[in-house]
Amino acid sequence: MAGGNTGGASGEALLEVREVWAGYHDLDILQGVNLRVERGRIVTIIGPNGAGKSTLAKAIFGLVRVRRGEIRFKGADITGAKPSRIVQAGLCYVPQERNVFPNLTVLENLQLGGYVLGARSEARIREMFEMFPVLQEKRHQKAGVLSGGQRQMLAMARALMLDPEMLVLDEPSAGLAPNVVEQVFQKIRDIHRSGRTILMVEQNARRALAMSDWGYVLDMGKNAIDDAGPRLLENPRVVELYLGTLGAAAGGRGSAGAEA
Amino acid sequence: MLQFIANGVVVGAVVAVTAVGLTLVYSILKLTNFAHGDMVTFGAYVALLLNLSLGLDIWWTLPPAFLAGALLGVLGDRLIWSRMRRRQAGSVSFIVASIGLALALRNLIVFFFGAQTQHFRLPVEMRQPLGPLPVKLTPDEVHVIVAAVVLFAGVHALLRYTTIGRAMRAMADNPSLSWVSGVDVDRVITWTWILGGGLAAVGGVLYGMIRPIDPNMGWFLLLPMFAAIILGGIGNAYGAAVGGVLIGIIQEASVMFLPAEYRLAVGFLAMIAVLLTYPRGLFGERSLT
Repeated sequence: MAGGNTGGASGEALLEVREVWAGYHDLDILQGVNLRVERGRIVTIIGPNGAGKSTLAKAIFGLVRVRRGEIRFKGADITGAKPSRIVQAGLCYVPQERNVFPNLTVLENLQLGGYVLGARSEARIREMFEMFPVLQEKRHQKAGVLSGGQRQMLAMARALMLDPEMLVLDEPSAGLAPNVVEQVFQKIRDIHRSGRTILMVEQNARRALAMSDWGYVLDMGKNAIDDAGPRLLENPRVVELYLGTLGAAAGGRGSAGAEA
Repeated sequence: MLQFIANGVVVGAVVAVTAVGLTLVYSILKLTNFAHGDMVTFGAYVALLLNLSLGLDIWWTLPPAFLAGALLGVLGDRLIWSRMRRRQAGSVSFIVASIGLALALRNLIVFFFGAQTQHFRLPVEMRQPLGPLPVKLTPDEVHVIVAAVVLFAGVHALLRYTTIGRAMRAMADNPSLSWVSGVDVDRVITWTWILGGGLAAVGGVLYGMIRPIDPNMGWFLLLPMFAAIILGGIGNAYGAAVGGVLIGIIQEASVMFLPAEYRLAVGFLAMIAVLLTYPRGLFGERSLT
């Protein structure tokens, strides 16, 4: 755990979070969090409810104000930067809930994802339809009528519109049926295989850590433990603290990821 | 009966034009703007100034009135609303500030133009009822209806088929997702005020063609505007337009049975009746179009 902040190997750090304090109003949810994601990796953040996992994702994109500390992407400081700048730099975000525009059509959702592309977005939309065929079928339907799985696919496609180097996914399996969860994780593996770096916040800890190069455990807004994904699964402290109940819930299926 | 419906459509067209602007601002900026009525009044007085002092034909005052209203809207955002958003003011603060702005605007108008009732200088023939029709309508009234239809077609096309319109609908739908999608939020806000303020001002000019102009005209129009957007489904631009026309018809038709002073109350009763049956309004909430 000590020395783990090298991310398990000596690759180039794509995203770095250094001593970040952030929260709402006067309450700091994050209290000095560190995180390092190397290019080409899948990194997962787990932790109990209220640990600050989603807050960390939001802080990266400026949805929560960072009071202290620094966030760097490709070496450049993006702390508090406008999201339009962050996404153009190649870092895109799939929020947990409300991650589509429900009253816009599937096609319009993708057009919004490519907002900064202007006219170039048309070609990219065709690529997205190849990658997510179900979205092509439904392209003129409102996103609000899609099933949970289709909506998650649309949310990922919207975030991929800018062809980002790195994707941040907040609880991609939350609220989905077990067979749909499998499809979503398969898609995430595909996205990773196409050369993208992935940072995930997941409640479904066992499954997410099993496919991750590195995992971070957050607790009370601080780093608790971090280690290689599979090793973290065997860490007695992690098993005792988080996987015991979370694993059982994941075994119960579907109910595991209701929280932010 | 037909005559009252025709009158209602004319009044409703004006309510619809102004209500669309109110609902755009509400759904995109989450601002219940009580100053919207006085932005309507402002438009009427801009036109009055151009009409009386420069002798400009009333129809030619529409573009400058739109621009002036748009400018007022954008200026209000730069001076007041953007600062309040940055300080994360609560929604009640926004409402109270908008009431303050409403009073300030109205009294500025009284200061510069006086409190007396005034009229546009319109060609006399425009006030003569049109030829053999089952109802009595003047050319001006017909023009008001046509103008409302044209304006609404423009708003529809903008929201549906342009990038900025799509971004406006996205902001109404899910502001934080728009933000993290890289949408230029400031640009969307500016356009919302251009449309909202512009439509308010143009609505004021149209209203001044069918009713006397005085500093309270917009404030009193605020009630039917709110009734219209609630009736149509809060935040829905089409609902606001249809709701506006319905409120106009209901109010004018009530004159058959009740003294004319009760018109506003009847509009509200109709709104309550609809909400008891369709609690989310005729077109449902949240969706801008």
